[in-house]
Amino acid sequence: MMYFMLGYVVFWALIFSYVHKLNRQYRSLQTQIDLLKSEKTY
Amino acid sequence: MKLLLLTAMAVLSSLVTIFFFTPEEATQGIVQKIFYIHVSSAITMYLGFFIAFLAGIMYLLEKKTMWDEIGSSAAEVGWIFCTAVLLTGPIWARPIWGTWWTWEPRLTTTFLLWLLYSAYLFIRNAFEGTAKRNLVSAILTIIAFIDVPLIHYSVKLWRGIHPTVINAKPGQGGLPDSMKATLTLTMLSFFVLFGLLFRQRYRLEKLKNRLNEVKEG
Repeated sequence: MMYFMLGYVVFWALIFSYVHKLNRQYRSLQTQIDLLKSEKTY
Repeated sequence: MKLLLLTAMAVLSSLVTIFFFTPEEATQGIVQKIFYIHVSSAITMYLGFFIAFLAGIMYLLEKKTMWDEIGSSAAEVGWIFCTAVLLTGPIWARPIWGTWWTWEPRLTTTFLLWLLYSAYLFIRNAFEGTAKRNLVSAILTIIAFIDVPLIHYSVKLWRGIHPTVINAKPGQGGLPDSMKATLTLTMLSFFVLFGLLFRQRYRLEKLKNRLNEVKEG
């Protein structure tokens, strides 16, 4: 039972941490683009 | 949003089927249920690396950035599923084989694949912002893909302890229909999950290129 639960927990932890990483990187890039654009406009 | 909803529904329905509607395997018991996520992750990993392989060929032929964006996104999501295979496999192996890891053909070739695509991701980062990056990435995805058929046929080519259950008949190590149906459902839900992750990663890759354009322009 312990191994069975561990398998599922590890799998979903991996997937959710990857989604979290993608979202974090996306927001960071979007902010950088917005900053660069505003600097150029200014 | 629609894809997120579809993924959530597909994954939930497969989990409910695994936990409540699929019988426990007679000798291994409940731990055998890791099989559904382990095998589905492996097939999804093949899908990701196959898309990256095709995109690599297309990039070499057409030199369009789009193929690099598709290839790198598919390779990275495929690498995530490869990591899942290498994590869930040992967790299942420990109670059944009595060891977390053994250097048998399928495990070794899968670990080699993980190393190849890890090197690909590392090299791609090292070449970030250079003209060579897309070309090197395309060549690497094509070379690394050679290991995929090796993994698939390793259980037939060399002696190992890893089971072949997909093509085996029931009673000879094969799956009964109820388990086959659950495996198919889980695989389909993982394909949808792959689609969601791929879309997010592709958007990120496009944004990276957009940032480089803004910096240059």
